[in-house]
Amino acid sequence: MTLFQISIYVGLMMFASISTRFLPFIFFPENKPLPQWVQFVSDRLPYASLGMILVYALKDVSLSISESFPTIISLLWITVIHLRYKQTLLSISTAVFLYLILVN
Amino acid sequence: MKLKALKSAFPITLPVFTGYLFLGIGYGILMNKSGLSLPLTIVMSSLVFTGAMQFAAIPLFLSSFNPVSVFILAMMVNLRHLFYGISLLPKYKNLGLKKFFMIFTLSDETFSINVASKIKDDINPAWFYFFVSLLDYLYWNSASIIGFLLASKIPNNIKGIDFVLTALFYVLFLNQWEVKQNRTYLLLGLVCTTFALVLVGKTQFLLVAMLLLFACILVDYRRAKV
Repeated sequence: MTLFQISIYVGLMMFASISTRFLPFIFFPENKPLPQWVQFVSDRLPYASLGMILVYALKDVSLSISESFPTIISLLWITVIHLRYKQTLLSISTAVFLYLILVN
Repeated sequence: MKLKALKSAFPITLPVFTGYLFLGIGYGILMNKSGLSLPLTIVMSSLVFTGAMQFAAIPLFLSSFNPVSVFILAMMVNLRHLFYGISLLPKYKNLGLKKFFMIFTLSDETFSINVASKIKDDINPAWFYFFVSLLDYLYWNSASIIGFLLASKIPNNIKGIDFVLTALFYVLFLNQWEVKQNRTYLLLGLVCTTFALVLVGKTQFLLVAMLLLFACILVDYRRAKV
């Protein structure tokens, strides 16, 4: 591709990421009170989004038990250790360590 | 005040540091090995700043010119930012110029941390959000440059380090799970997205999931109003 064509691609991708990031803030500027329904949605969307991101992060995990074994075990480990100690970094680092041992 | 916020923000970004370092270096190596340039790598990481799209764009740069399909793909991949923005409307308020940077650098990871973190009373939330955004942005940009420059010297990465990001999302999820009233919506997110994934497959499920979630919340709103 020519430099011009590459620039068009980059411009389009920039537009996509910048517009989707800014649109909510442009539609609902901070100097105006949020409409009631938007307030309702934005109170609940954080939790729905966290659920969505989790599935998004796991979308490439295979459905076969043998291949997804390290992921399942590590997530179970996090569930147990995090609910017990509630130390974010402890839960994450030990789970990654466990995952790496199981995968490699 | 700023230093205190930085100190409190830094530890929670460590999983992002690990994950971005691994993925960003991988991105830089791939750009280099695909015969693409360092300036393009820098422009992509600093101005487009969307990991998923940056990886997807590599083969597109190498095939024939098709701007329409690139645009549609980029919009599909980035649509989830709309949800993050709406979720953060109440938090990203009265922040001055910082706000532009924070919106510009919104990512899955920065969003999850900022929306789910309990900030201590003596920390200024605005600066906490800002430093999480800044650190995550710097991690990604420096990692992709390092990856590009050292492409020939870096051996095969250890398989699986990117699991750290999944672990981070899951821990933040569990933190919110503690509060009973959040559970309905955490589950709704899981169920709708899984349903969409099974229904339409990996390439388009986010759009379907978002429409489903949005519809469910609006139904709930109407019910709450009656």
